Amino acid sequence: MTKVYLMLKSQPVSYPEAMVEYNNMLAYIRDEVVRVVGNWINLEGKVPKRTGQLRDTLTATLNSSTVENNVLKIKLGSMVSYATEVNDMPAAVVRHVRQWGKAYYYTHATGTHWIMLNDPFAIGHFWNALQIYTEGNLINISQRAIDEYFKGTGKLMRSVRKGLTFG
Amino acid sequence: MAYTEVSVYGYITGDNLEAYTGIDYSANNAVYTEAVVMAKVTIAERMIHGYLGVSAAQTVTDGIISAVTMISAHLMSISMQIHATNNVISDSYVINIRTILSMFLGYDSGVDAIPMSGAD
Repeated sequence: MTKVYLMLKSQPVSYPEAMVEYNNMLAYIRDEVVRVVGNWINLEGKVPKRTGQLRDTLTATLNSSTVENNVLKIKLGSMVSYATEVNDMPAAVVRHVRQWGKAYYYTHATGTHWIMLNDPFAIGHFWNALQIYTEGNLINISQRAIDEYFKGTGKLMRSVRKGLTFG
Repeated sequence: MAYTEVSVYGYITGDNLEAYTGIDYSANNAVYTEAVVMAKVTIAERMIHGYLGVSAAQTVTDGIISAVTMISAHLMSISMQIHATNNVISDSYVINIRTILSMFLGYDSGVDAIPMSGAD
């Protein structure tokens, strides 16, 4: 009779043991995708910024990505009403290098509030680019995580994971 | 969802609220249990009760019902923004065991998966 083994790094393991490691792997993928895509939004500054509301909401949604019931769900999105309009604009319109502009998000006792606009790396049609970037990174990170958690030594992952904190 | 929980003053039910907004809250996000939704309704009722001086025992008028419905719908809307369930733009990517297995198989199909060589 053929016997089927679950293999974890060349060692046969029980189903619960495999699932524990599988969940650790999903948590790792979640943390990495949130970190990489979060950097794309904020540090690399690809998403246009005027008041920062769009970036903040995108980051908040991304941070709400979950691992539940053995399923990883990466969430993208923004609730700001003008998100679709910003996405329609090309880089030439949304990108600013140290320019003064109106802020529509603050109220000011003396009238219009002016702020310094500085998002030199903002791109046009950010939403489409963000989706492509997230999907590509999710696949790459998953593939790397499978290698590390089920095939490799696992040392690299733990050293990468160590010291990172996520909200 | 048919609500069995009731709010503190019972001016409206959870079903009244869902009928008004057209949103099945628990289907939107698992956070929205009956208790959570009815807690929002209760807060709306307390606002009406407190600000307008409506006594709990008095007849529930149309005005009270409509005010509580609209305020609790607004409170739920704020909550949904916090939980990012009413986004203007949104997308999600799901990785489950099937996805992971397909990645395994794709990975293994190159070198290792030639077990039948030489078998006629």
